[in-house]
Amino acid sequence: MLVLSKIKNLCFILFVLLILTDSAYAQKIYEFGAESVTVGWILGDDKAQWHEVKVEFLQGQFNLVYKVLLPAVQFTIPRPRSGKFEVSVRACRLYEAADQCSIWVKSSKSGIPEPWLIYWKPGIVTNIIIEDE
Amino acid sequence: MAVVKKKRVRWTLPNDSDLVATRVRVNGTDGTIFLSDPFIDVPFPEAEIILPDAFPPGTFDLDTNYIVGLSSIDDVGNEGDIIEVSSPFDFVAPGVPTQIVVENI
Repeated sequence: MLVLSKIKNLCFILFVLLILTDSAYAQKIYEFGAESVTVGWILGDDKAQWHEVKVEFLQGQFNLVYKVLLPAVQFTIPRPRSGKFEVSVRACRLYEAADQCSIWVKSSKSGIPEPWLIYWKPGIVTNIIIEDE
Repeated sequence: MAVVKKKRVRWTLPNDSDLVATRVRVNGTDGTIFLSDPFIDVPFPEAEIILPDAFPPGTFDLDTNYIVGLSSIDDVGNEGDIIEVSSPFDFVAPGVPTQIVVENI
């Protein structure tokens, strides 16, 4: 716990990079047609050995955690499903044969204090054909 | 009993793994689709409907151009963008003849 509290002192400044897409920004909800989003962060100190990226969907209790090994400090989240989700990152290290991780830090965006909410819509139907029966 | 010429609407589904239905809306008066328009949900993986049978009687009571809006629905109720197509729908059978007289010639 002591080490954990030390690691808690890691101060992430998360920034989120968007890959492509229609950037119709409105409040804290963003809508994308893209199939992936990249999240990046800045190291709090030199103790972390890897980072974990958590994708929490606000509907359906659907969460994913990705492990990202250093020196990478960004991760491209593939689209697992549609819906609104938040992204959190924490730093981890192996200490005395146990994983020790910092608290989860939610992504944010400059000027928007709330957790950054992302919304992947379901895809669109295509090739609509109307014909005589 | 009146008989009307039916139409088939078919489409290609997106690749999402969590789809449960395609929502089909129709509008024959405004030239566009509103979320409040009558709709039916076509369960995944079906990708076609027959009109006017799929909708309740009275939905297509105008002989005019209808807008059909299709959107995909996932398992938690999220709805994708609506894609609209326009087509003339005439599901109104002609009126019945009257004053039918049978006479010798």
